Amino acid sequence: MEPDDRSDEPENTTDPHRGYGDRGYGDRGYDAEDLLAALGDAAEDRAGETEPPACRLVEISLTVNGDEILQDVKLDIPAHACTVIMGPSGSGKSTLLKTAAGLLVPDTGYVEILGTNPNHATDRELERLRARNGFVFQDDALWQNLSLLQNLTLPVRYHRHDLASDSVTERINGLVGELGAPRRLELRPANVSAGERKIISFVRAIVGDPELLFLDEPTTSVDGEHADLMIRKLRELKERNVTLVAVTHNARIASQLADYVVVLKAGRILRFGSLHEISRSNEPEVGRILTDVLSETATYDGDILELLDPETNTYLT
Amino acid sequence: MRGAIEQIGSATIVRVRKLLYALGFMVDVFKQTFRFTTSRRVGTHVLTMQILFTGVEALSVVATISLSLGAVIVIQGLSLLPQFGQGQLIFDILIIVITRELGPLLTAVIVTARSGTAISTELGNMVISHEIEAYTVTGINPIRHIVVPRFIGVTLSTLLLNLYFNLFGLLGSFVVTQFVNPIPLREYLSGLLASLSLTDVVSSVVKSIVFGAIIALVATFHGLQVERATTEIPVAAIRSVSHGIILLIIANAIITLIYYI
Amino acid sequence: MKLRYRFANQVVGVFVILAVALTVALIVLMGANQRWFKKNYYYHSHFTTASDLSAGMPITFRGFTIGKVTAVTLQEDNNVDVEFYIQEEFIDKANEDSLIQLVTNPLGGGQIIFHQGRMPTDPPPEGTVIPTYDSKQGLRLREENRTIVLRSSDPIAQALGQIDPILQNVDRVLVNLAVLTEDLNAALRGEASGPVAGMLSGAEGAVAELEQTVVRVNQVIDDTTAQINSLLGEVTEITSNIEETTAALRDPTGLVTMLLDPKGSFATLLDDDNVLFDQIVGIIADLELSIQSLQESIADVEKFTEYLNTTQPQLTGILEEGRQTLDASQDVIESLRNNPLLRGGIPEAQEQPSTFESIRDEEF
Repeated sequence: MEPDDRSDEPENTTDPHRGYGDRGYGDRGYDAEDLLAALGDAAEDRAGETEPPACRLVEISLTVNGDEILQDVKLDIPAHACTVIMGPSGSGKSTLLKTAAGLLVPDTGYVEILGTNPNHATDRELERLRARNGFVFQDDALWQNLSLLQNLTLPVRYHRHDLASDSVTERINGLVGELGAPRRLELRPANVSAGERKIISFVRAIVGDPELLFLDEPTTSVDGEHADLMIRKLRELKERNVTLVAVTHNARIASQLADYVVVLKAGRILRFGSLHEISRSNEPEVGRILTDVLSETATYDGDILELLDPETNTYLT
Repeated sequence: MRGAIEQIGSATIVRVRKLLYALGFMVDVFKQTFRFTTSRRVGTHVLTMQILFTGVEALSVVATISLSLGAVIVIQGLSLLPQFGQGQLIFDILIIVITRELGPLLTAVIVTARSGTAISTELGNMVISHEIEAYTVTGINPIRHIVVPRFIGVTLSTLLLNLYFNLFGLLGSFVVTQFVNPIPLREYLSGLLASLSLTDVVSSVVKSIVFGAIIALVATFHGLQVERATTEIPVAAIRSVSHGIILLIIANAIITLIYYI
Repeated sequence: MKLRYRFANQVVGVFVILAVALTVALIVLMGANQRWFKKNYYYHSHFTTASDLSAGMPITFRGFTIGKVTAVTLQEDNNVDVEFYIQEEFIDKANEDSLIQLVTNPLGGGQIIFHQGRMPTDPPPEGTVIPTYDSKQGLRLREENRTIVLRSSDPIAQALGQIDPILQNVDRVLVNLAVLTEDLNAALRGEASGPVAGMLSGAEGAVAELEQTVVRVNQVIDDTTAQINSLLGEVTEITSNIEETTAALRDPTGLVTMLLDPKGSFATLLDDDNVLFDQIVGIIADLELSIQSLQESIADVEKFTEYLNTTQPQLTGILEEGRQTLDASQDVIESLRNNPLLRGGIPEAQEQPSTFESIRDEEF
């Protein structure tokens, strides 16, 4: 599998190798009653029918300053679903997310985002690809020299010349209102709180209607009320078939949104499968990691893995 | 022994790789600059602000330095030259010092000290706070959006500041001449204009453009070299000043040499 | 928000426009000052040596710089080729029969003087050789009087230049003498210290110098007179020429007839295509030229005479004064020689004890 061959492929070509059919991750739905069925053979069939993965990581390894952050990562992130990456601190979650988004160039292997290898794309192809992606950084990563409003309008203005500035403003105001963001958008990022900045950076990621949204701890430093608004928005996006890839310690995001879970340990993928599968996994290591990760934010003192199981999770509904 | 050879070899490879990387960066900046000037997609606001910070705000420093430099040259020159009956040479000396050599170089040094460090620090901070990544992931080329306006702004500002440096330097010398040995403005101007050749003007302009480009490239390059720690930012700023000044002096020597060949 | 940031565009706009405008103005001024848009006409000249010649040397005509030397090169035949240009605005001064002359002054820094041809013709075509003053061709042109030669400093100016320092010299000697005689008188009264012999020899030296100066003044005056005479001779010559021409013109059988038809055939007169007319016009032009140059000469003489007249009294006055002083000093010297006390030298004056005592000494 030469990377070059891959990059030349048109985005819609169906790939016989796509999907981890044997792991049976056809489950895209959220409804609890479908879960058992989803585990069945039918799900595998559906997996065979689905579109190519939104993001494909092929034999990725990445070394930074001599530390191997990612080792031999193979991952197909399914389209129109929510994949949550979990793992203990320092396991390389953010690095994996950034590599998947094409922000970091791996030492070996390659990435295909929506069928395009960003390292072999022309500037224009890359620009077009980026316009279809959104990324919420762990810290807000807002442009400090621009006002909040300019932070929000710049990406839209840059990619969507067709939109009139009125409709852009209207759209921004709608989103800002929906997410409870600060109303004084003429302020610079430094003049608002960290939580508000985070909300604005979330709005910035979704304002351009992305097909693929990467989220790196979207709810950190956001209070519960606003986090709920954010989760509600993410569910709405999911319903609109937006592919979500999230790194989170937040049990609520994981349980309410996740279709698939990637469990990462020391730069390697320990387990990848549907939420149901993972949450019922009887591998002790996976269980321990998930317990550790989720206990950081959860206050629920029952069996921590139940949190992830929408079937038993009454706390969330 | 073998260890030493290996060390030298690997150090050379690292150096060459860094150099190639820097050259690649330079080529990319030039390419994006061309695109920036041909397409109007990116707002010119950053450019305007860059000229404001680098050019307009440095004007008072430049004016002060050049006025006093012009005055010093006239005082020294007029105390020495007429002894040999070469009073007219004062104009040639003014032009060589202010227009050809110190004008471009001093403005470039001022710009390096003020804006080179500022740009390195700013870009370093942008890297740390993931602002650069935010541009990349939004599909906005950070070279075109961040580096190019600064590149154009600094280059243009250096050129303009050099023009003002010349203006103030030559004007300052006239004002001082009025105290030492009053001559009418007309006579002063005609003496000056007779000594000033187009080569001097072109040389000065070429120098300040090259210097501005060097300052901007070095500053943005070192700013973007920052990776993750805030402690890298002051290091980047120091590097951008020291590398910048070394490159400026080398470039100055080369251009002067070219003009005298 | 600072005003500067609110009006960033305006501030930057002014900053840029001002710089650009000033630069453009500077370049335009430079262009005007350095004649970028004026044409230069290039010519060559051949010299035997390149000493005192250099690129950038000005070409002057009646004190105006009309061009510059652009290159001095040694050619294969060991001639030194000088390329120079004449500025567009002075090109009508150049004509055939023009000459250039290298003039150096002992202080260094020479110049090339341009001598205009006498005949008003079109400027010589670009790239042609303009002969030098000392070349054979130049000599011939001068002998044939086809070139108007203005010497860099004409005899009158020279004479005036010579007289001035002499007058100063005389003045200085007189002052010296006056001081000396005063000193001598003081010495004779016993009021001064120091050897009188030394003073005497000084006085003698001064007298000798004055005598020499007077001789030189006479010489200069003689020289100048000779020059004036030659000038006057020139004037007479020109006058006689004119008289001759006028006579010839008056004489119907003389010059005019000859000019009209050397062969004596009147047929040519009738279908001459204005030849006759042109010839007459030429003669008249020549005459005009002669009269002009005569007027110039007369003006020069007048100027000199005027100068002499104004300075004569002063000069004679000074000389007279000199003579008087000389006489006086001679008297002094004479009397000194006759003084028996002073024969064989003057003894060192006796040191008189000071009679002055401080007030304090007296009181205590």
